[in-house]
Amino acid sequence: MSKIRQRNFTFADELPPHADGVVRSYVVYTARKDDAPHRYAGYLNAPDIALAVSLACEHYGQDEACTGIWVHDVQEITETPCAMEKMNPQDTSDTTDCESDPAWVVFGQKRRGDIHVELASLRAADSESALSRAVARHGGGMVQIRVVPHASIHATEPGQLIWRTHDQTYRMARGYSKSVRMKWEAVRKAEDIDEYRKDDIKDHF
Amino acid sequence: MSGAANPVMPIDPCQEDPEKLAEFEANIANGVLIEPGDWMPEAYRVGMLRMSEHHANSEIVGALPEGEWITRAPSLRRKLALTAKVQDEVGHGQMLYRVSQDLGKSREDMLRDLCTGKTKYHNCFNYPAPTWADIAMIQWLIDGAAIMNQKTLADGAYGPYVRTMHRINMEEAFHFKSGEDMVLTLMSGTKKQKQMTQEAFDRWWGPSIMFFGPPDKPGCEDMPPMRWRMKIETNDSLRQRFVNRFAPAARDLGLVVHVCEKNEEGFVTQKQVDELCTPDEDGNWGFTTPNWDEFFKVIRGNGPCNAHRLALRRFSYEQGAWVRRAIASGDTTLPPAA
Amino acid sequence: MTAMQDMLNDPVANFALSIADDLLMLGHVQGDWTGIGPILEEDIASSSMSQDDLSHALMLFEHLGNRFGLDADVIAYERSPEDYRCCDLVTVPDEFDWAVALTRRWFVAHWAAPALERLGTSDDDELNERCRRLRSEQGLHLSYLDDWMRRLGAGEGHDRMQAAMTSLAPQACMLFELPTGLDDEDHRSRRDEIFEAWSRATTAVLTDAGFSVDLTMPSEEHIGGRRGAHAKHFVEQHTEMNEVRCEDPGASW
Ligand SMILES: [Fe+2]
Ligand SMILES: [Fe+2]
Repeated sequence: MSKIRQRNFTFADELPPHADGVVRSYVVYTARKDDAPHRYAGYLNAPDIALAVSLACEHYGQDEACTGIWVHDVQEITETPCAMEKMNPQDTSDTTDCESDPAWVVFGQKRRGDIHVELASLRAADSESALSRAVARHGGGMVQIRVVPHASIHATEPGQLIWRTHDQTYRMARGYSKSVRMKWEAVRKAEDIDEYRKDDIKDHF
Repeated sequence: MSGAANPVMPIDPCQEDPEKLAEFEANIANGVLIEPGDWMPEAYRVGMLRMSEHHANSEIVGALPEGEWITRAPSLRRKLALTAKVQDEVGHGQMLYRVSQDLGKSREDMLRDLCTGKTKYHNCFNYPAPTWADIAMIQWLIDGAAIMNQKTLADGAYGPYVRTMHRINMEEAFHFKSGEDMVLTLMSGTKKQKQMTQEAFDRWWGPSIMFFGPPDKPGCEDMPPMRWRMKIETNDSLRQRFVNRFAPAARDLGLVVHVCEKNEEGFVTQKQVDELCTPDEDGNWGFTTPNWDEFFKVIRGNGPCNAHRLALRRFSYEQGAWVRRAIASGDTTLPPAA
Repeated sequence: MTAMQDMLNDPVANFALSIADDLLMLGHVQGDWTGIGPILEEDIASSSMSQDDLSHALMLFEHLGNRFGLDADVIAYERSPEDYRCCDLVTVPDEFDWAVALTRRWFVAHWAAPALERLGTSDDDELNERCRRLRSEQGLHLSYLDDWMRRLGAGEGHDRMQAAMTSLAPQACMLFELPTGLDDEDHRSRRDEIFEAWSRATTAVLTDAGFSVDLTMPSEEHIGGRRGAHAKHFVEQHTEMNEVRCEDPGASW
């Protein structure tokens, strides 16, 4: 075993004091291919958004093929309350966007428990009108609409290398399925293997 | 790996506004998921916070026993896989701490409470992993047990936890397959490898049976944790499903279950038991009732590795403090690129 | 002559091994930090980089394996210590000091990137293509690590980082020891070019961040890991790496 892990540690009675300073929480979205919508991947904590982006690349960017990452501070979110039923906005008196207004990215949640997915972007003077405009245009079939100022989202560069090009199958279930199946077949009947495999996770990276 | 605790309900739900509580319970009964902006009983908030904190703690401590073997993995592919697997567990901890953070406790406080033993983590990480075959067994049996548990938790009622569970399970699939692949490789290998694997199985079969927690109390289905879908299936039912899946698989691999017994002279001997032979008429496979006294002894901190695991976690926390301070202090923002 | 000896007598192979062995042993010692790093997010990021380093070593071993008829794992694990071409910097004990671990990785990454560019100008297109891919992924490490270096230049991190740099600098310069079998003018001038690129890039970051280190080319007389004279800590890491394999030699794991 490595020496670090073998060590005998001695400690003071008390833990050292809390670290002061700001750690912010960021929301991370990933896109699986160019032009695919950005989908919620997870959160992370970081002192600033630049570091948050590089940390996001090395975590959420390595789970599955990934061509782009968006990160924004949790506090930049303006969203509707999460509805019980899918929304059915009736208001069609929506005005056209004014090019001089700031841009907003619209995310939607289809069902409670689902992740938020990028739907569109629009321009509006403030978060309130951005949200009502987003609901009117994109709220149909959603339980929640979220808007985030475009300027607050930090993105990886187009074409930036995130997902590695070397063989990643060692860290994915599909890298083992064939060899596992073959090895089981040497010791078990096919119907026993199928029965056993019923409990496998179907949806995996 | 890892599994969530049996939620402990800290506050009497009777103190809540009865109308709101009734609506909340009706929603859950109708399969509606709870999202952070919704009204929820205080007992639910605290219960979910503690459950996901315990789950996160288990991921973080769960990274330690297997982490010991990264430097010794016997091939580059296994070394890569084990590094990635342990890394995933750290990621699971990070994502789950986030759920608790949103429910009202900072990550820093959670890590501190973990270091000082104020909060707990899953019992099974207090057992040692003395050989490479233990790594195979942990990934097959313990990750296998965790997946069974976490698949039901992904069916729970709290949106943020459910989302996190889905993502975590996507990765658990790899842990389990990699574990299966290692167990299968070892059991089709040399005599020495087979023996090593049997010995590791002897160490991990018991903790896997205990993994799902002590036997359920009567009426637990009507108590808040299950009524509120924080917990979806009873411990005993999960345990039986686990045994039904793994007992026949272990038997077909050539593994046998041993129990320890003291003979007349007081020496501990291992006796083979035949519970891996056949299922009963309902298709349920038998298992030896775990030693629950031992289970509670380990939970109280007296297991073989409790002190060692916590010490390493605390050392890591203290040793890393300057890095956290240095980057959070605000004077480390990047100078403009040259 | 055995395939292994053929490989060890080949100049290009020795150059490739110096990179592959550095990345192998770096990934090995840094990988040991998985789960005990200072910040959860950084722990995860750092582990991704360890996996890259190990994968890149594997890709070079695979190339050599194909060329000389050897198994990549046999090349990675089963040479005797004096046949490894890594520099001692990569296995320098960090005593769980994250400043040492980060600085060690940063020095190596800045060497690996230009060295891969160099290796990628061989007569072998397949090798060149591998090097191109490895180089671009090592580039990700560079920007990540440079970012951390700059962040730690101010405040509490400064003195710890400076101390780590000062203590590692002599071993870092041994990155430029010419590996066994590469003792000719051509390799010497290539090596000088890489040194040039390395000290330019590292010094730029160091100046930005407010650190100062003296980086000089090691003298010929100083024989180190690249010529097989390894420090004790390398041999210990090599033994640890082989612990399970040695329990049952020849078994498949
Ligand atoms: Fe796992
Ligand atoms: Fe996990």
